[in-house]
Amino acid sequence: MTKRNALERSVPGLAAAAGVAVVAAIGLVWGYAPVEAVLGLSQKIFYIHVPSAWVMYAATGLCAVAGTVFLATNGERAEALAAAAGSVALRFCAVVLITGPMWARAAWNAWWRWEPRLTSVLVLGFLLVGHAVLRRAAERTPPLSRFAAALAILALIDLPIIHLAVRKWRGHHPTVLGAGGGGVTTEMAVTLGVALVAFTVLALVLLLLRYRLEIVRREVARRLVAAAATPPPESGGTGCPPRS
Amino acid sequence: MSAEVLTVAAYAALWLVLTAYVVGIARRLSRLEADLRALKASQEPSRTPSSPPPAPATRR
Repeated sequence: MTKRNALERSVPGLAAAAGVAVVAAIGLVWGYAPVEAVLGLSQKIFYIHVPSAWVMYAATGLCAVAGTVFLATNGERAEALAAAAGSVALRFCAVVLITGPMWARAAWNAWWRWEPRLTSVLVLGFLLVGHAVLRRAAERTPPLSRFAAALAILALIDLPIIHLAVRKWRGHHPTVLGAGGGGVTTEMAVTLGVALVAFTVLALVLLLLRYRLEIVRREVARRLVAAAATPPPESGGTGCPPRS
Repeated sequence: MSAEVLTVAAYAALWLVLTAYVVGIARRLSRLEADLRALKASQEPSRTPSSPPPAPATRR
C-alpha cells in the first residue's frame, strides 16, 4: 500500500524544478517586470495573488472530483487524494485572502470590501476550513469522510460564482486578464506566466507530499488495528486485546 | 501603511504560509514513517538462533 508510484518517486525532481521556477519568477518580478505607473510597487502583489488563486481553483476542483469518485466507489486512494487536494487548496486560499487585502489597502485605502468576489472567496475559505475539520474528524470517525466529500462538491459550485462575480455583479475587484480587462504589458505577462508555472509545479509537489502523508497515515492506522486484534504469541491466544 | 511595506508583507506572508505547511507535512510524515517502520519490524515473525531462516523453496 505504501509502495511509491512513479509520480511519488518524482517528488525530488519536481521539488527541484519548483525551486528553480520560483527563483526565476521572483527574479522576474523584481528585476524584469516594470513598476506599474498608477499602483506602484503594490502591483507586484498581483504576481503571487493570481497564481495562488489559480492553484486554489485547481486544487478545489481536484478535491471535488476526487470526493465525487470517493462517494461513488468508496475508494481509499480517491479519499486520500481529496484530503490532500483540499489541504493544498486551503493553504492557497489563505494566501489569496491575505495578499488580496494587502493590495486593497494600497489601492483602495481599505483592507476589505463586502463585494461579490471577495465575499465568495471568503465563503470558499470557510468551506475549505470545514472540509479540513471534517477530514481530521474522519480520521477517528470514518463516515464523516462522506460529509467532507459533499462539502468539497459545494466548494466546487462556489468556483464559477467567484469567477463570474466581477463580470455579472460589477464589484470593485479589478479584471486584469481577458476581455474587458485592464491589460498588462508583455513583460508583466511573461512574469505572470512564469509565476503561474512555478506555483503550479510547487502545488503539485505539495499535493504529492500531502498525498503520501495520507497514505502512510492510513497504513499505520491499519497496522495498529491489526496489532490490537491479534493477541501476542506469549499470551497463549486468550483473545484478550493487548494494551494500547 | 506604505505600498512598499504592504508588498513586502504580502511576499513574507506567502513565504510563511508555505514554509509552515511544508515543515508541518515533513514533520508529520517523518513521524508516521518511523511509526510504520517500527510496526513493520514488530509484526514480522520473530526469529531465534534455534530457528534458522527458512530454506529457499526450490534448489537445483
